[in-house]
Amino acid sequence: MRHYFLLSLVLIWFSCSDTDSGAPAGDTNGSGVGGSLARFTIVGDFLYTLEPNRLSWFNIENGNLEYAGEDELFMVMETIFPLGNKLFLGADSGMSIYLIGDDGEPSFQSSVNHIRACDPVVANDQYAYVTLRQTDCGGFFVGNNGLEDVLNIYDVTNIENPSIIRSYELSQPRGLGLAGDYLFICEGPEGLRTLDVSDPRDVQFLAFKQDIHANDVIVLPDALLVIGPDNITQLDYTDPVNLVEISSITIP
Amino acid sequence: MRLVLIVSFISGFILTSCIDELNEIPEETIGLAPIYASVENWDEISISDPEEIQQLGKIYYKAPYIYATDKGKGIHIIDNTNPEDPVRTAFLRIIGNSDLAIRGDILYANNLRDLVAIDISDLNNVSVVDRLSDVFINVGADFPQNYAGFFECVDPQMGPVAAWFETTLIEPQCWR
Repeated sequence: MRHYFLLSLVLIWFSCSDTDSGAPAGDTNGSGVGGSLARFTIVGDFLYTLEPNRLSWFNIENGNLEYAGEDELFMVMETIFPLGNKLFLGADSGMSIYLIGDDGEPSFQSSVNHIRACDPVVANDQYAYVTLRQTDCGGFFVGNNGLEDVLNIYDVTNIENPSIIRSYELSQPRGLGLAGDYLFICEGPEGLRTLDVSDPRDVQFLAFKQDIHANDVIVLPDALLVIGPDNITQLDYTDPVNLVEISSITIP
Repeated sequence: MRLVLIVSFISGFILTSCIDELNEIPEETIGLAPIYASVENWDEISISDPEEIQQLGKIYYKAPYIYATDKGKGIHIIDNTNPEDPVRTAFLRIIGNSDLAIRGDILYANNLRDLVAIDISDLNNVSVVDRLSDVFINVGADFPQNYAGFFECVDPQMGPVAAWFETTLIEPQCWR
């Protein structure tokens, strides 16, 4: 059982890396992997950069920077997540999906609107997972605890027409990372949560590691890489319910 | 006047949710204040021994290194060959940096308004292989990005803004 889990993680890792950027992380010719709060990402020969109201792309085939195009955006965009030839953009009022053409140009497919909040997104071919945080998301929301802090799951099988499946209540969620059936959600000073998302209509809250400050996470084959304002922590997630610290760099 | 411009520019985005909540300027509140870049050498990119970590921002991984941004200052490079004992190897100084991505030996990063490509194949001797000027036109603008709330108004005399940090503000005169 455990071997199947590990094997599936490895397969997921390689398949994602292949489609995302040509080679698994670690290959010197390939690209690395960012967290869910990233605003830069590399797909194929192109670098995509996100500003609040603009998506730009650059040809980096030769290592140089060659401006290739830009798209004006009508939502305030915060995060960019690549999946194969798709880009998922998290805005403060919704999520947008783009499809990348052979020439590197992304074309808008659809968007869904949600409450105004801070909202990174991760996805697989079936579902997109978006956390929405109003707590401490900009000054106007400070002190307004009790506003919506949730995980939204969308069906993105048809990228031209995503639909919401369900919302789940959380506590000030930030970045998130997907490992097969498991979703890890950073909840700032409150910790790191493990969810079983194998059934998106009935997500199981498995564990909540509260001795860590977690703002964003990268899922590596052997470890979760978690960053807080003053810590970089690696966790073994062989047993996703019982995350074990491998090492931590902390600033006193 | 600047405030009017900012408010009118932003109101299109957030009028419905935010402006109507603003009844008065608070005496004291949590908000953002600018960190200014020294104008003379903001585009000088250099590598040095590991520096003290101030405020971590984003994280990036490309074996065997972990890259962690320090808001507005640069990138901490950590050798993760042995995950049980990651070693802080170097600090890549990039003023106004918040984001990065790496392909092959080239690290792409924002340097205030510029986008730079940095060859990191030799961590003792990095070099900027390409630079596109004024790509990020919003950077160095008079307001923080991705933010709705109060902030300390920017003083243009101080030069470009490298980053914003959260602090207590007394009767802030700018918001978005």
